[in-house]
Amino acid sequence: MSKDDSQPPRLAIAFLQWFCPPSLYEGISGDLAEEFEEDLSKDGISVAKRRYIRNVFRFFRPGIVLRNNFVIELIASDMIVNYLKTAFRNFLKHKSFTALNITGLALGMAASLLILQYVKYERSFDSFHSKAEDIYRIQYNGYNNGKLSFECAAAVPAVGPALKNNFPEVKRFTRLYPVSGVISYESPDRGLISFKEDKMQITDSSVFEVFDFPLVKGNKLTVLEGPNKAVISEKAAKKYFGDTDPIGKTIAWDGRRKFEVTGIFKDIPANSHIKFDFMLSYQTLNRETNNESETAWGWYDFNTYVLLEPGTNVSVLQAKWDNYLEKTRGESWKKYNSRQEFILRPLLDIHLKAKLLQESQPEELGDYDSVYALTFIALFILIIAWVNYINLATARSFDRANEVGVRKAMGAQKNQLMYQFLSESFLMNMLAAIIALVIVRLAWPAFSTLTGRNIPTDFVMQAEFWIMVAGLFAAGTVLAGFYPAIILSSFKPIAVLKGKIMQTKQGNVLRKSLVVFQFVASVVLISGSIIVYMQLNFMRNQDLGIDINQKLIIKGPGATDSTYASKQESFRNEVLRISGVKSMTSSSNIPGDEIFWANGIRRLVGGPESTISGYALAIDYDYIPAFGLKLAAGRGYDRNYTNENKNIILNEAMTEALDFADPKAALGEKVIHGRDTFEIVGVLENYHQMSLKETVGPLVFRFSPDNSSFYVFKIEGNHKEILAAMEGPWKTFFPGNPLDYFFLDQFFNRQYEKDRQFGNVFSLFTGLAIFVACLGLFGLASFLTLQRTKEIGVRKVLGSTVTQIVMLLSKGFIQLVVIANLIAWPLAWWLMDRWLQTFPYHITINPLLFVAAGAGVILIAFLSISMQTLKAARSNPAQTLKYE
Amino acid sequence: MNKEYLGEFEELVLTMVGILQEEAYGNAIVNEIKERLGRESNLSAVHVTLYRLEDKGFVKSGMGGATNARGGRRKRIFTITNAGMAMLRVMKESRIELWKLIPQLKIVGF
Repeated sequence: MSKDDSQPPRLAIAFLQWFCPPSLYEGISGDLAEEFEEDLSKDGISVAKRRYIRNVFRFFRPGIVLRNNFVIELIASDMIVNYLKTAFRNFLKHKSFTALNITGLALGMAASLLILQYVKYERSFDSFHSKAEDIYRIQYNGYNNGKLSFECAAAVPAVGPALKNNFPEVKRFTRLYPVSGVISYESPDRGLISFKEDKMQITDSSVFEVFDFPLVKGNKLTVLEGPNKAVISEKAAKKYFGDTDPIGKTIAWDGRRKFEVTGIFKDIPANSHIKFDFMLSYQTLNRETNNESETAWGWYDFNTYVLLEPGTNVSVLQAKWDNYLEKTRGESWKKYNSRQEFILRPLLDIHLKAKLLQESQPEELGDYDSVYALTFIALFILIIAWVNYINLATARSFDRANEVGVRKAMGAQKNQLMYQFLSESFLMNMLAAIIALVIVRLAWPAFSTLTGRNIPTDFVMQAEFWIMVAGLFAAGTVLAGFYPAIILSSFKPIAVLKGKIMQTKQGNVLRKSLVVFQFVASVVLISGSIIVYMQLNFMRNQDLGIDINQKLIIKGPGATDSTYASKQESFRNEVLRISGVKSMTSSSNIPGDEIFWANGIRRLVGGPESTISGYALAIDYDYIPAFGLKLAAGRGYDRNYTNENKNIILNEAMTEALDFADPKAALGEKVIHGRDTFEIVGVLENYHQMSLKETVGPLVFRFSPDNSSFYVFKIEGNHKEILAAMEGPWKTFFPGNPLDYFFLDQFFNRQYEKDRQFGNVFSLFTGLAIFVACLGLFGLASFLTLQRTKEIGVRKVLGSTVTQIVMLLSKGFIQLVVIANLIAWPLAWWLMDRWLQTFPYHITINPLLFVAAGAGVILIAFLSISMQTLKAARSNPAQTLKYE
Repeated sequence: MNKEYLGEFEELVLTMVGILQEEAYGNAIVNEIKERLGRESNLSAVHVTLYRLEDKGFVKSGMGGATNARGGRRKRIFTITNAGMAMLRVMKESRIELWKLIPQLKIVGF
């Protein structure tokens, strides 16, 4: 038997050595060897070998293997103190670099924390309902002539019951019908308290089963049972009842309908897509409409929500439901050549993805694209800051090369050096994170105002926020620290200590491409924010076709009885006597106010086969002149004609929709709007009833001064004096009605509020991104200039001028920024063009804009490096060359 | 009794360490268990148990002298600590206490 044969199998030994903790290896392998020898003498070589292998595998168990880590930690922790100490000394030695890095990282982190918090809030809408995942809103798509004519957030009242009664997956449904009016309460001690309320909903009592709107007082099963019951919010309770108990008290809606207060609900959270202060029982509506509000298939004002069984496959349900609709409604659709679609849309998607007609809070709706654009900007700023760290750390690697050489000569392993440089990046990121937290805390109120979202500050208490902080911190440490750590730890000690260290070409290319990346991001952001502002300006300054300046609006009292028309006329006469009041008109809607009144409209003779939906405004004699609207044909409503309520005025879009050859052809023709027939007496030129974010749709203008939600006054001079003068006649003719006023231009422009806020946030973070990028460029320039001190000295001795040297030093950087521009322009054009396409009326992008943005960035970049290059170019060569 | 608890195998190994004194290392314990109790035990299980006992502070270990028999490798010798002895004593006594409580001479019938 040869010697080799009597040895344990080598592979098994190697395996043991690999997994076994070094400290245990000797004892274990000794024991195994002893057993092997025993087996060898007793049972022979093959048995012994087999047993040996089996035994080795038996040692491959957690109790042995896991002891490894413990050992490594022990070694590393010895050095950690030293690593941190060296890192600190290094930071102190290069204060300006440290400051640059920390500022950049801190700003990046703070920006991302702010934005992520905002994004989280935007995504939190409606998630406070415990069954939010299973709640769907019914979207109503109306088709005429096979063409989609509207997408509406409110459905018809019959949809809810039809879903619940025919599909077992639908557990419950609830409908909310928005109404407004004056609510009043006759207080025994404070007299009549009345306010105009815009946020009221007529609701099914199942609203409490579907949603989580907790009741403070009252039983959720009974509060909305029966007609004329009202449940009010805590805020409303305070407003009308002060500290007294509202339960059982009676409130009046527009003075006529009386409601008993049966419960109080907690105020609706800010992150709800639907808001209200009053819930009125649905049976009130059923009684008044003769049950129409249960069975109607054409009246679409009802925000309908269904609660599905958990785990329902919605697309299957949708298909079954579409079939059902086709079967039951098909015939009546054929009759009108129209079609109705009722689509189940997830509740949680409403805030960011739905932009339908008749939304509950249209001005609060978020925008999916802008939220994601912001997330990207946050990410960009962070990456730019990390790139700064990488660039500065690798550029300065020359400085650290000697240290690395000495450490390696003393026996440091490569991975130990990596730990060292990673712990430096750890420390840097930690300091940055602390500063970032301070910035977030200080900037929070300003940021809240800027975004227009009152985001609660309790996020500091939430674990999620801290996980985010830790995540950013860890990502920064590893992503920014890893590459420099690899570069620095791989220096060859012999070469380094001999002083033969060269900047690698690879490192240079990487650094340059990172700088290019930073400036691509900056140029895209800067041209993006310019375009956002240009589009906003365009929308604000575009001629609307309607005069909204110098208009004071008072919410009308609404018709209360048959004397209303004459009261209104007398009030008008009184008010027109006040100096400064040029005109008064009353109407159901004002520009910028979404129209909810819609009836089917078709021509009595000829025209399209199907009925189209005709959104309608009720106006009086003075509406057209008061708003400076232009007639394309015919006349406006006039006091000299009688029976104006048999006549109708259309806009041009409506005449086109009704297939009239031109506005003149429509005059004298008859149309059926709703149930009545009207003669067309005038056609208005198209004007923007809503913001420029929407196309001008077909409208009809019915003569109905009774239907006046708004009184519009054209005024001149001090509005306070005018209002004071109005108060007398108002109180005389409409006692008990609050005098709420506002200005039309402000009201109209609030439609752009969200876009303006987006523009502000966008440009703020653009500024930050550019600032951080320039910090990096500044640092890089100052370092590389420092390295060339001697070269500059020699050049000056040989006769170079300051300009030549500045140009020499700046050339490299400016080249990079120019390349960045060339990449950024098409990218920005593509991105912003996509954004602009979402507006029906938008600017076209002028290519010069990119050149301007690029030139701006180049200038900023040049300024940030010129400080360093100038200093170097001006230095006295005698001093720079003195030291060797 | 304190919180530390010994499993049956742990107690057995600890006892063996006490018995073998200077000769207590992995292989010897396996052999001793086989010899005295006729019970087959696995070398790796004994090792893991020994390390666990060491973590708990009932034994301590050090490297012994080299022998030719092991390919020149040294043995890891385990010695029982005072805490280990105390633990064994407590366990023994508590067993006896409990044993005394069992009514003796009871005929167990079918």
